[in-house]
Amino acid sequence: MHQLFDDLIGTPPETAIDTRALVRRDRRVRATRRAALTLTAVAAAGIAVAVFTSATTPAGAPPGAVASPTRDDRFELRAATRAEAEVSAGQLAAALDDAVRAAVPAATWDPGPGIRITVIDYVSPPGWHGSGTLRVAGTTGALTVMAHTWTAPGLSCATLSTPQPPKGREPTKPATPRQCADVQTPSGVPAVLLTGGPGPTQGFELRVALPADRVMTLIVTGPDDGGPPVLTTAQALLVAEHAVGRIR
Amino acid sequence: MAELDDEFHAFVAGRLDRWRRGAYLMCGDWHLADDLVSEAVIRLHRHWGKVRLAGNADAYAQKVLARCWLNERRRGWRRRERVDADPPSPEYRMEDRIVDRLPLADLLRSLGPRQRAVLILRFYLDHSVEETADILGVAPGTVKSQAARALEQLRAARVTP
Repeated sequence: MHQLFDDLIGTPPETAIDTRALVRRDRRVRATRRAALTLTAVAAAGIAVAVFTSATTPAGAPPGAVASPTRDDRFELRAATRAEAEVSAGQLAAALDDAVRAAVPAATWDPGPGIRITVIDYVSPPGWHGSGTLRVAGTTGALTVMAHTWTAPGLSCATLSTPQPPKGREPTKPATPRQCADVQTPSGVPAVLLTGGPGPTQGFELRVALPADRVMTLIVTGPDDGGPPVLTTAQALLVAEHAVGRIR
Repeated sequence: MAELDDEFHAFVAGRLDRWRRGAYLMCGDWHLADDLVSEAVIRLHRHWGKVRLAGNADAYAQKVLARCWLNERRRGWRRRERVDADPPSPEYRMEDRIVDRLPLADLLRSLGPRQRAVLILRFYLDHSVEETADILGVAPGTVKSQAARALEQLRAARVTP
């Protein structure tokens, strides 16, 4: 019977299957999908909070605090045109690469040389997104970065509260249980730390306010099999602080 | 994680040829066979951490591959477009061993996807009745009856199993 089947098969042609490329592509696709979902959720929550506060805050109230500029080699995130946004994407990628090297000298990108940031133009105004695999002392995981508009007054767990569905309409699925904590970078820049959530991969999410009503989100995960995140919370806060310090 | 990945790639490399052959027998098209195996490799990698600890990686991989094939058959476009990758059959001569494969190919084509999978898992990939039933998610009795029916058709086509 075996022989019959082998005769039927004949000589198999050369395969084009490259398992390493398949795995790399799958990781990239899943990271992008996770980031896009988060970005959409953040944008929706931000808009909902902004609408709520604009209806309840008196006119003329001061806007929320943003990170203060501290360095001379700062750049501005510009998104008026696609070309401007592309330039800002390159600057953001360089700033993040510098930030990772300064905050975690042992970290290396796999594959190098750094993180690639792309423009997200399906939201208005456009945002930026990128993801890269980091290797730190034998641990590997992904660092995903997003920068986008944040119109709510200030960034804290209170402003991140999940918007309630309209009366008479129930949510289609239960909210994902996530823990939120208001934290600060070593120099005191306020940030929000989100932990927990679906999926086997361990990780956390850090959001830091940027100038010009924007927020930067860093998502740090570990290996696919559930190992610890590739960066500690303290390291991620340091990375965020370095990166935010470059943006004016 | 790098060690995990290396272990995974070594595992796949050792079985890729067998998986491709099994997939080809199921679908009869090398391009589709490679697509099925690629999809199975991705799914296997997503759960590799747990699968390797459970110690049943081979059975799991085979199950994923068979499910990929059955899912592929359920896709809508298959009902609209059907491609026959094999050339027209040449004249059949009993004394020529190589043409024995033609009745087998006809038989495989005439079977439903699940029956075809039963035949291949049982008689080419050498899985037991219980393993085949587990891979396909059917009862062992179903595997036995479908395998017996397929063998009967093979004998009727004068192919000696």
